[in-house]
Amino acid sequence: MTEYDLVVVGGGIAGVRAAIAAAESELSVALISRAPYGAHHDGNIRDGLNAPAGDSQMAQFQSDSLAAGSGLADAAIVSRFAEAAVFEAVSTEHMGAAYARSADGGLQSFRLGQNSGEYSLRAGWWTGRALLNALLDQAAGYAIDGYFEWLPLELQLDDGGVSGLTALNIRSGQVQSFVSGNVLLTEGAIGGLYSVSGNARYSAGTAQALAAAAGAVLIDPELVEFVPGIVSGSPAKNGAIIGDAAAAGGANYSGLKSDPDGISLGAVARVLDPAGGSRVDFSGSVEELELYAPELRGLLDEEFGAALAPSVHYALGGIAPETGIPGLHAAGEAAAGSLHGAGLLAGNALLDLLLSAGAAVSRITPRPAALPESVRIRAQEDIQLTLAGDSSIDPAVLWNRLRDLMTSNLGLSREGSGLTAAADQIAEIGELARRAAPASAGYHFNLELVRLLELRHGVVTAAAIAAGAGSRRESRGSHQRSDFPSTQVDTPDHSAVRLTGSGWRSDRWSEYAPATAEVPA
Amino acid sequence: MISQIDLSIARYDPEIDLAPNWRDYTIRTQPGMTVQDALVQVRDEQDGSLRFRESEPGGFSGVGAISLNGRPVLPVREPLPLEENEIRIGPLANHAVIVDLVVDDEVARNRQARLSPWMQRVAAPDPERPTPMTREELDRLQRSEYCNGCGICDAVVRGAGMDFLGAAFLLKTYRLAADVRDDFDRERLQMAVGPDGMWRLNLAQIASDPCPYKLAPFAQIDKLRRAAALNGFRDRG
Repeated sequence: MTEYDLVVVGGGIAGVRAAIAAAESELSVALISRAPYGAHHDGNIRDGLNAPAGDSQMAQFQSDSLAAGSGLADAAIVSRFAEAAVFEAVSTEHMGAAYARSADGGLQSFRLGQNSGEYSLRAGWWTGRALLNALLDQAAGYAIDGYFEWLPLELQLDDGGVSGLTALNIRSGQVQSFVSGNVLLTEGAIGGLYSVSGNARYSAGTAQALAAAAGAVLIDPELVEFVPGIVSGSPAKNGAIIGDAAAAGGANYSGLKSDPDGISLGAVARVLDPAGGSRVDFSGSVEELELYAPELRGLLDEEFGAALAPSVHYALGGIAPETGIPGLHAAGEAAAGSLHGAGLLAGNALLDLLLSAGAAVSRITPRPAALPESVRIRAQEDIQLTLAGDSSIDPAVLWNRLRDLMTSNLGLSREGSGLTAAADQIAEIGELARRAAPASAGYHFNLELVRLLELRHGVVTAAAIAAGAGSRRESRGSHQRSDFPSTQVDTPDHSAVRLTGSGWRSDRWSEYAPATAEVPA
Repeated sequence: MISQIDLSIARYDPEIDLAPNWRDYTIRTQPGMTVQDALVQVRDEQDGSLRFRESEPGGFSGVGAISLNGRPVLPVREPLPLEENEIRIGPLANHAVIVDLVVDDEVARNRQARLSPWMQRVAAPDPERPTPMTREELDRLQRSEYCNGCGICDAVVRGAGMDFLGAAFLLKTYRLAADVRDDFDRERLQMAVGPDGMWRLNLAQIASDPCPYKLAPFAQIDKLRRAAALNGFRDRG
């Protein structure tokens, strides 16, 4: 058993930034990461970090963020991000982030995508990687206990709030209890729930699932940012011209994210095949493409050799800022911060990951906590029972079924009956996942066991997305419904969904009072 | 028409096997398929016990490097060599095998931690301002700041021995030494010049560039060797 003031879930930019902030505040901290050390897909982020300096850039940044958010970004929150951005950019520069330099030796600003001003920093063409590496190197200077290739299993609560977390050491197959009065959830990527995404394939919205299972509210989980992803080797069967998809899918999909000097998406777009298998998600300049993915460059020139498909990019919603559960915190993609609203501005993902992590840690004070040994023993027994489950149910088939379902029913365009059907089928997949056994036995680095446990997290997050999408009877930003094509301009509101003893419940966040929350089963 | 191809994949379960053994599989092929596609097909359709680290599409995280016919590659970025007579997929060289194609990355990570890789300065920076740095100074990093630790450069160094600090370690040493914002160069160079360090690479290795991200680690290590020589560190190799 291991005790900490804070347990951080997630080895990406938000998680590592939070761990550094906690160590600076002299909290004892553990970092639990499903990804191997340094291998988190946050390192794939290629656009940049928004850091508006001066009144005019701040005004541009705020107006761009609010426009991208399609009425759901919060002006006060956007303003706070604007004010804190430069200081955070300088902090990460001091940690070694290699941002591009201006002729006078300061930081060079760039204009990203269709942002209205040059208020973003870049570290060459691979900003996320340079930043993640700098953070990891900085973290090595602190007493942070890193647990890499560990899968979080379940939040532990007692009468007063969070008391810790159980997690599986993937290498040994053994469960460990982490005793802590504070857990900060950051592992929010959901791309693994869909057929096409540049996220790690196991990105199951683990953070949202852990929080929801503990009874926390998720805000706007249905708001999923899609970007055009290049899919190779998938001839169109039910293809539609990309122009139609752009018109149907809102501004965020129509090229807002494309680099001004990048590849012309129109030129390479031949078909949209939402059911197409994913190979490569790439957005960058032609030079980068030739240097780093030459095989794709060839494919783009072949008839139907490559296609664009909606690629899941970012979960815009997530865990509510006030979870109502003492000691439970969220940051980064896992959290609903209302910086993004219903659409992501280029350069705001990195800003969110960094600043929300620091902000979450600043609210944390050590809380006493205890976990009986029986918690760990029960969790280990659950693993044993899973290994002895029904071997006629194939988790790989369930994963594919979930991805197909999410892609077709909860993708770029949604419709009421499809959402109802999706909710039913997700519940069915969840039931099968609870009974299934992994394809192979054994404890030692059993990735099939891990994939099955991740599927169980994934169905919770998927159900939250379906519940939120069903309750949002409008089209707005990244959420487009063919049965409710217009935006409810007068009533911009956030959905609030939570798992109760009797299933998923959808409310509006404005009407939701955490004090009256039911106790989840 | 369905085309098929045979693969041999190294299997090793430390709970059962004394040594790795090769197992053969026949898979369906399609144009443009990658080595990772082949591994996924085997795992999902034939043998769920096959263990490997699956990369995200695009392969920027550096996860899952393996050995393909003796050559270290990232499966997610590597086309399956359909034209070759034999396809043998094994664990990445110069790494301890945990199970099947999964290798231990902790050894390399712990080594790099010994470099104390955070920015260390004589004078604390002004928290309100970025450290002054010219474009030329930034260019000296030569993209070494992008290394994601995929392990491929470590795997191509043959005969260096398990105690060799590794190419990635030396690239990190270069990355920190090249950065004008850091003042701890001499201490790190001291670590990199030992008998387990930079002088163990031969000229043929220095001339190669196996990095899938075109970071040219050995070219930077060569610069590091020159810097070490200029700073009075003798060849102890």
